[in-house]
Amino acid sequence: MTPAGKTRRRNRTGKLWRRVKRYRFIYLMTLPVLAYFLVFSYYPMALGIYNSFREVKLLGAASFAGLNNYRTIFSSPVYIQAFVNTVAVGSGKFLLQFIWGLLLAVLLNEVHRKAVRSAFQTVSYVPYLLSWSVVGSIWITLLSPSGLVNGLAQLFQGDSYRKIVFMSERSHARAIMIFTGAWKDSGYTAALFLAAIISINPVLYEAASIDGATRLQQIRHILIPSIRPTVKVVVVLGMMGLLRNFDQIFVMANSSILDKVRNLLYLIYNEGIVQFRIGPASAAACVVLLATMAISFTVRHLIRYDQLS
Amino acid sequence: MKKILSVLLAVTLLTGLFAVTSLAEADGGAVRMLVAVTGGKDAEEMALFAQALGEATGLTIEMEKPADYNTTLMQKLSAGESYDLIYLNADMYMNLVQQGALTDLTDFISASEILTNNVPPSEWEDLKVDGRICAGFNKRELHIVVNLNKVMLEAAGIDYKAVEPTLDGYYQTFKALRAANGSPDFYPFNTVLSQNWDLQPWMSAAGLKGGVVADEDGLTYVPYATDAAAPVWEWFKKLYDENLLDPSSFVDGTGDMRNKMNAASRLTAVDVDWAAWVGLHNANAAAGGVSTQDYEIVSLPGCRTPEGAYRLRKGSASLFAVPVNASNVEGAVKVLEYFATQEGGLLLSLGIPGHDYTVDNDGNYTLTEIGASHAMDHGAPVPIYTGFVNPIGLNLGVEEALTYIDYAGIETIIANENDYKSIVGKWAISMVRGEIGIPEGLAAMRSELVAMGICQK
Amino acid sequence: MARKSSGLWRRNELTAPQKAVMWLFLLFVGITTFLPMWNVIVVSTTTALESTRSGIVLWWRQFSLEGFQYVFSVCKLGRPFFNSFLVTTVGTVIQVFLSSIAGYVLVQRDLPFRGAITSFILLTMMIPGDLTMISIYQLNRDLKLLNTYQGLILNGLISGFSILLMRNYFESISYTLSESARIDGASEMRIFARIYMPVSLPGLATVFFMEYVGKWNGITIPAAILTNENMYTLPLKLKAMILTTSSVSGTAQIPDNAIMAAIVISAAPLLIIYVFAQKFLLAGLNLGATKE
Repeated sequence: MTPAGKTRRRNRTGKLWRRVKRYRFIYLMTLPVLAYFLVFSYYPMALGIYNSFREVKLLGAASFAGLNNYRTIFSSPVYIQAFVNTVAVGSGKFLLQFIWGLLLAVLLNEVHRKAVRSAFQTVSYVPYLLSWSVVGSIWITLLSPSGLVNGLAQLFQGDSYRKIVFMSERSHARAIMIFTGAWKDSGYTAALFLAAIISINPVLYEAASIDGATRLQQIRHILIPSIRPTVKVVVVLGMMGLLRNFDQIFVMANSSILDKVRNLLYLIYNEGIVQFRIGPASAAACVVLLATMAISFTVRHLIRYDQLS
Repeated sequence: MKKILSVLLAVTLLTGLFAVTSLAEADGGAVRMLVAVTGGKDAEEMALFAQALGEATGLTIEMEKPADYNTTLMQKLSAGESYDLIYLNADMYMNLVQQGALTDLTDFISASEILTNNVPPSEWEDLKVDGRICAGFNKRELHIVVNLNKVMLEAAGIDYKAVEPTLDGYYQTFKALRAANGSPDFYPFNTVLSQNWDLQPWMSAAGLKGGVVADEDGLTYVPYATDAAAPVWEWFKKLYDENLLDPSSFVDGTGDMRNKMNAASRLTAVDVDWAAWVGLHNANAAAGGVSTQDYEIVSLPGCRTPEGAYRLRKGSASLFAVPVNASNVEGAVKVLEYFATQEGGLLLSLGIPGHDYTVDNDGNYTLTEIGASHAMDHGAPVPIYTGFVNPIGLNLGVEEALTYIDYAGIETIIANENDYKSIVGKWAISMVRGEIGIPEGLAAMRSELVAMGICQK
Repeated sequence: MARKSSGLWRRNELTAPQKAVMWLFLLFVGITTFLPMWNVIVVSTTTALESTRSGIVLWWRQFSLEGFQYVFSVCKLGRPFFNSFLVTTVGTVIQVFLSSIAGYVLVQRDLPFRGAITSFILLTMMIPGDLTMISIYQLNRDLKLLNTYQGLILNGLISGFSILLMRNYFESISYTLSESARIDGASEMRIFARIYMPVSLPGLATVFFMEYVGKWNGITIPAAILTNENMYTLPLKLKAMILTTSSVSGTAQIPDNAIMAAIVISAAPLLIIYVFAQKFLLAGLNLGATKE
């Protein structure tokens, strides 16, 4: 390094140090939060990662296992299948939830009576507040042979109709999980979008309508581009949750469709909690963590949502 | 803001003190138990239960009851926490024995008069893994019987005692029930096919036993997946094709099945369920003001085996084991001994004397209001002690169901029971729906069972 | 929304067929949500025997409040309700406070290492619970937090999501205002308390609501650290009520009307809070942080 470069560097670090000093109180304010995450998130995570490299016995000494746990899960056809299921159901649900939520938000915005809009918004948000054990059992009943869906189909098709046992149809299994998953969470997505939509400056619409744009054109050319920042955040949040869908599958799966929908977290539960095999379960959880990070970083890189203008 | 925060912190610290409890010492030392179904129904009753158990055994009993038992047990054991007794069901028992986490109790059991005399030897035999026994009993397991709606059968002109104990006999019964009740939501027969719950009364027609069995060469196999089971699967397919089997059987859980069987719905006339459920259905109907003229459940032992006997399944054990890091094994064994006596049985069923039930001077037992709401179940509706007598008496229909217990045996305990159930269930449903031929379906079932390491052939 | 003349009004509407599609969609969403909720309410207010009727029940054959009586007298739901209410409320209040501080830190434009701090916080949102299942228990045991209110409050006290939400809300607040205050010599605490806080009510209410829902429904942490039934939270009690082990060979079960009543009781507070929070939610949830 040339002497000139050295001075430049020293200047830069000096400047950095001055800036750090200037913000010392800000750092102090962050300290409790960072300390909290260190203790309650990172420390347990580190222990979990450590366990994934060991053969852990419930009682008694654990031994170092190298990559054995990882080898176990990567050579198991069940894990491969679970990974496929996770991605298929997860991305399907995300897409449908995204479209459904956006549609719901745009349509709610078209409802002018405030009371009506508020009522619909509340109703669509409620499933998000309930747990899967409630929502899951409701849909299982609705889709059962004596349930509402078969009842409606019979009404239209007459007596020759043979009832469909939806929850045991292997070809419908993933679609049902995707649909019910989106049904539960789309009210929440809609709320996120609606929040962005109502903050759009009304002057923009007025200008467009003076130019002769129809309402649909306004939605297409003004509304959608204006909420782009929210779209980005929704995508990133969706990606972070893509691989984490335990409760729904746990409540709604049954043996005839299990191998179509059983996902990684379900397997981890069965391995770690039911059969007490902590090593492979930790390894699989690590894979979920790594995959989530990879997906999130790729998406963040692609859409650079957290970059400030 | 600071003020608010400090007040909040003070509040949380103060309220935390409620959680601290202290225990008095007793002679036999302390026994720490982690329980799932055993004990009181709330915190107060839990304390009374522990106290009653402590007084009877001369120990200081500490009982903890987590809500999510499996998860908590795993967390506590892997954190090295020391318990003297932990509750286990059969497949957890197998998993923990395989991991070497349980104390070998064989010598303690053979040295104990109570444990050898008050518990049938066959029960101990079922717990043996490589000749060792690593647990004692929480309760006596009952068996599963065929439940029938007597009133519906009579309406179809059938006396339930005259049902021929063959697959065809039941098929004719279902057909008569269907003819007598044309409602589209009614199905004569319902069973939880997805968890193969419980096929034993029907499989016995082919002389087959559930679970995993070893052949003469020591190779393990699943009898339900053999070609010998084909006639029974054909029978199920016929029931489905002719609208006699509720198609919800593919997806229903036991809860759905029971709801359809009960007095409020009456959407099915025959199912297979625990002996105790015969009585519960009747008791619930009585509590809801439905008379036995309109609704009564009775039981039968299912199909006769080719040898002319019956074969029913007994519930897999509910146990208490001693982890290897326990500090008071003697105390733990004392508790197991107490559970195998009449007094211990009373505590596990009726509950705590004075709280759940009272005894008058003539020795008559009466349940208190609290006791009645706990339905004589504080962990063991039927205790393990062979000579146990329930002084209150049993629900209507249970006595008859209990007469079939000699036909019942347990399935071999396997560690990956869930995989077994879901694989058999999946192919069973495919075959019954006619998506795959019976021979092909059975072959596929076998190969998947072998691939998942559940059996060898 | 300003729609001044009737001519503009008309053009700002969807066409009739478009409107028909819109109402069909909204009705579908409305009905599929409403019917199941109604079912829960009806079943919770019927008799024990009636509540076991199979299928979707939409009207009473017999009205009865015995399910509600049962959950309070037999299941003793009062204490778990109080526990849930206490830890959720205290925890959420502290969380709103801490998240707004962290959010405030993250909007400081030329704060050195801001990116690193952001990533440090965001990464915590990706850790799957299964990975920490065992260690979380050990941690709580070592910190003496088992079976305590402190433990219930401390675990999950802060979340990356609530910080993100506050940060995005703060970003819609003029940065120049705080810059000039800083040049005037105002302390950070003062800028935070006097400039940011007063205009952030919608953001704070939103974080409060979102986290209240999460904590109120949370089950993993209570399940891991509680074994004393006096400390049970509502979801844990619900789970214990529905609990079935694989060898329940005939245990008397809690009737369905009582279980549904417990579900109604556990969902009611969230619905009440939602009614109050709805007003703020739309302003506070604006993650896009449009800065016009």
